[in-house]
Amino acid sequence: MKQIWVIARRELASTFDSPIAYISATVFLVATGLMFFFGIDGGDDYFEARQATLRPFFDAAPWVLAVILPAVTMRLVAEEKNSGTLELLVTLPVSDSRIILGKLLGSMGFLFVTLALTLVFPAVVMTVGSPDIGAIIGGYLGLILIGTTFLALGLMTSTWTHNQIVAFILGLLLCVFFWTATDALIKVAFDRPPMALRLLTFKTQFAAFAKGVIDIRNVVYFVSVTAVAVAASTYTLKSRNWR
Amino acid sequence: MAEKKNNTGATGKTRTRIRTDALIMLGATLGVAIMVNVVMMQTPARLDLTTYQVHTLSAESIKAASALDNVTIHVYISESLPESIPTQFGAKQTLKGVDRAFRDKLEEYANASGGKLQLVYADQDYPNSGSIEEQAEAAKLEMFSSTEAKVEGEHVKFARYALGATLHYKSVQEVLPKALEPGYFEFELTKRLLRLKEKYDNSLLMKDLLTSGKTVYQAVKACNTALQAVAKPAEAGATTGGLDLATSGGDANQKTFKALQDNRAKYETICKKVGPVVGQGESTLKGRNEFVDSLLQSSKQFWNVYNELLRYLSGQGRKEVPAEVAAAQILKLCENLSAEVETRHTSLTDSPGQRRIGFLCGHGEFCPFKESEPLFSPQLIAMIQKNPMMKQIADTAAQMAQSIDQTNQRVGDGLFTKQGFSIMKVAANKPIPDSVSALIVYAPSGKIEDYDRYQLDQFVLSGRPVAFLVQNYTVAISNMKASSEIGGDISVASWIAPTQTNLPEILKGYGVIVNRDLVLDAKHVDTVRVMELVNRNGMKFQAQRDFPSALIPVFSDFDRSHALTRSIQSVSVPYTSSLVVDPTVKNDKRFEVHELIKSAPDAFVKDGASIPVDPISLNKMALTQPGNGPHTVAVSIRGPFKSAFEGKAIPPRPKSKRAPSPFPRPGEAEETDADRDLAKRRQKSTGTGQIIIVASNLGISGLTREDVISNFNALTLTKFSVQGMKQAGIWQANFQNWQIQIGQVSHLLQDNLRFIANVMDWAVAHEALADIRSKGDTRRPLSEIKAGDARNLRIIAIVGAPALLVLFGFLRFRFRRRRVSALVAALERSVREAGAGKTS
Repeated sequence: MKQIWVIARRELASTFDSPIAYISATVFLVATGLMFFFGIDGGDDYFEARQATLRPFFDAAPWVLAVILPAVTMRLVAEEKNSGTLELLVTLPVSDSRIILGKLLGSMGFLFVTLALTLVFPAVVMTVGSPDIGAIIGGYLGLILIGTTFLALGLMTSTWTHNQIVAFILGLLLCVFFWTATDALIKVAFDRPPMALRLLTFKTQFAAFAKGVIDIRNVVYFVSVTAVAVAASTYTLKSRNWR
Repeated sequence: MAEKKNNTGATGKTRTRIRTDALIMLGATLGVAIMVNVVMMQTPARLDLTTYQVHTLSAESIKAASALDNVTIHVYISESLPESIPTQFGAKQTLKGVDRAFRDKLEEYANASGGKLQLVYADQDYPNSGSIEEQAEAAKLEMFSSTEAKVEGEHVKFARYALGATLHYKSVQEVLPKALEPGYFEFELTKRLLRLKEKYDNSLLMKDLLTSGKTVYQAVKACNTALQAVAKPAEAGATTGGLDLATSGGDANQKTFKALQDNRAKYETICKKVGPVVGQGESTLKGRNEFVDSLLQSSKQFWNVYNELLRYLSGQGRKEVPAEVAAAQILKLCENLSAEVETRHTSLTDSPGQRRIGFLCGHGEFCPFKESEPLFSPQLIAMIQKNPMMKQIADTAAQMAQSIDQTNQRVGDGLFTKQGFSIMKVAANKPIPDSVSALIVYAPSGKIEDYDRYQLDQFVLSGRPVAFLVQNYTVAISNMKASSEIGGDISVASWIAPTQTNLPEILKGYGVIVNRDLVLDAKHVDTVRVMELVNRNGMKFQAQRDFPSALIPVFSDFDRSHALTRSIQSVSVPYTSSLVVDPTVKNDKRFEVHELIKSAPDAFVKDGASIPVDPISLNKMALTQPGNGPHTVAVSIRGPFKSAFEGKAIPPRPKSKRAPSPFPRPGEAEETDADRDLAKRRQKSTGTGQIIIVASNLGISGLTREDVISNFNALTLTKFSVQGMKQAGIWQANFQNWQIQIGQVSHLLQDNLRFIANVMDWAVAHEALADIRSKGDTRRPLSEIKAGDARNLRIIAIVGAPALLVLFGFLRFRFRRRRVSALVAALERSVREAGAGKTS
């Protein structure tokens, strides 16, 4: 655990050493801010809609996270592979899975910092109304879960290649696919898609959180996808042993 | 020979082992993940973080779920629902996740019932009974379509979907025809479970009525089926298409007629049972139950019509119409009457335990029923026909009356009947029927006379609940106004005028003073939707604009100890007055007083005459006024009330202006001495009553003939033809005004109607339902803020946090640079020192 923690701290520090973290977080904050106050998909202006709710933010945030988090994770392994520092890392007495978990935890630090900065939105809403705090807590828990899953997927694509840009594009495609495109693909493939398949979409799984409901099935789903992505990343990292 | 090694130094065998282990680990993770998800799908568990637990079953729902043994819920969910469906008003309603939410809610009930409630899914449990949609339709669910159409052959078809359930307990059933609003799933299901219990309990008490009703219905249905079985093949085999109800020449008519003549034995043996069954029903059941009475009436009509058919078939029918055409007409009539009998039978089976809510009408109230009397007497119609000008005016009036009736009927059906409420009209100047369980007096604009006051008084003392909605002022924004009473020009104007209601005076008797004022609030407001003329690029057009209006305060201070307001988040009450509970009642421990809705402290009250109507001037004025709230706008009182007629003579019933009917219904006949004696014997001077008073009409004003077709009398038609024409214009304007007024607050109506529905549930002793329904309302309106403040808040939120982050990055960069410089300097220093040491 200590080893994971050490790697996580190192990753978090190096994330904030890079301008990408600041650019990504700024893009996230400005984009969600604009969508929150001026409406997503041509929706209502927040102050004209006159509802003390953070739903517009929770509707917009996963979209932006799906774009910016692969940018944060793209360097996690690809950069190390490219610069050759990965060789140094794997010679340390740390297992591959711990390296991956450490890197994931480090990038989660970035997610927490970014989400913490969005607390200004509920603060603004509370000055002009009384939103349901429970629903806000639920929404943030959902964002942490979905964000972590995006990070794990991004990390996985980062282990697949030496090139950060390739890792970013693959990560972005995967995150957007799981966030929304699964729906469209399932519809193309099936005339009447079974419910279990429709549940693959992150959007469906996230909906309950935004209402303030923590459903164990949604939590398990996000944790499962994260676990599989972590296992796949570990597998790819391990693959140097048989190549 | 040494094995080949890769760059990590592993041998081939080791490499294979590592690879296999890693693959197994990856496969195991994937397998476990899938398994855990599949298992978790069957065992839902969740934590509801919302303030009022709006997504968790309430105690009343759990009680309802476990109250009956062996309840079965048949669930019909189309396999693939569309993402959205069009709503009545053109907007789209999203259905994403609605099916899952419905399934989850049903599973929650099943879990909460402790095994007493079982779910049967149409697709899984009855796979061979046709498609889910077909099964749903047979179970009387309401099907709905999406906007996506499919071309099948030459036809464009909209796919139809089902999402609903039927609830069964022993011999009774309830239908949830369409479940599209997850926020109200709990309300809809609990309501039906409670109703199931009531229905069953009461159906035992009226078992004989239900059994006889079923026998009559089955006899009629069997006869009609037998008749159609003979007629339809003959009609289908004809060369000229379907039955011709107007001429005698149709081949279908001839063939059908012949088939009916030739196959009499096939239906006569079945149909001959109808007469005796109806006769027996009439002799034993008539007068015991209104639903049975109407079922018997329709069935008797069917029997008479059937006998008429037999006469035509035997050549003994009337000669005015050719026998073939008459038979075709009668067959159609039989079909319609059979359908009517079925509807009446459904009403009968639904009726056990139903509690009826009466709406007092006749004093300018909101009264969602058709007028029972025609606008013109037959004598007047005969007189009008001679004068084309008069006829035109009369036609306009008749059309207006028809529009009013249709609107009221639609409103009543849509808002109440379809929501499962049994409502009935309580007409002015008539006794309130004993079958009325609760009464709504919905914002009368006219005076309630002594006879009706007495009826109300005694109704309250009988212990049955009464909800009073009081509207002190009519607020008209950009309405049509005639320059003089009769025959004036019509222009657009705004005004606030007091209503003629004397309801505040009546309510004083119950210790509630409804002030002649209006509550205003500059900060917590909702909007009024006004049409305005916009000039853009030289083009003038009408546009709809929402103005915040201080006359539509948003209330969020509720009495949380009362079921009606326990879970409401906020309610926007337009044009409301303040009210005060008399301290003698408030401090009397025998009374249970709840101040249900209170304004914010910033609110203030003002006399209607001193308030500008124009929203901009109104808000300017409101911003300068100091708040003197909170002001109460709704109260509930339960306690021992005294009669306002104690020691006084019972007011006589006013004589009807109409000619007496030869077949008067109960309550329609003129008051007799016996009636007066009975009233005297039944008179109460005290009684424990329960009332709710809301000092607003919640945005729904009454649409009555008296208000719209104002100044209507025969003289208007016969004497002043030109003025009469102008008067017709005023009627149109009055009708439009009602539409404008409703339209201006239409965005508030959905929530306010829920409040009214809650009041009605409270009235029929389903308080818990009101509580559950309120959970679906998750509105939390913002306070009114200035445009400048909104802009500043946006800037702080959008720019503030990124600015902080960039500042942090900059400081961190500076700090790191300084640290690196210090490190480099220290390194250089130590190198220098080391060099100096070497030299020395």
